[in-house]
Amino acid sequence: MSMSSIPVNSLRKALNKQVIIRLKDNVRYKGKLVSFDQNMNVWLRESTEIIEDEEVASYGDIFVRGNNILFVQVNIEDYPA
Amino acid sequence: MSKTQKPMDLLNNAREKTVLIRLRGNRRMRGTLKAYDVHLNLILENAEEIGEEGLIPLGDIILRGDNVIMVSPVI
Repeated sequence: MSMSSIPVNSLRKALNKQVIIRLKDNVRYKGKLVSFDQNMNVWLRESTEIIEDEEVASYGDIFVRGNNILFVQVNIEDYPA
Repeated sequence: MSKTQKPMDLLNNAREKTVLIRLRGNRRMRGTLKAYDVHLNLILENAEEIGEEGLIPLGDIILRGDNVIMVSPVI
């Protein structure tokens, strides 16, 4: 899949797919991307919290405040969590 | 449902419900979400800090939004 075009379009293509959100404190949230907004606040469904490669918690829905995000991994099928 | 629900709608749906919150500085809290704004300032009723040695009751608090990392409505 092409990663060209602007960043929001890549994020839009990832809607309803599994993504991994990496935060600045290195905690990761893996789950289905329900939606995002202008501040890159993110809504994930059926998500797990991953700290140092360990799944430490799971949640139904989570809201992640955009300023904490380091990057979002899309097309994660080929990459380990 | 006609329109996609945005992240802030998740908070709106969680009003009057118990939420679990992860904050900067390795803190976790829970409480009843009474209100919120665009900064993620939160009004929590019967808030409790989830510490290493159990729950620390805080009563009603106004939490400053810039500390918020994650909010999850407890089912």
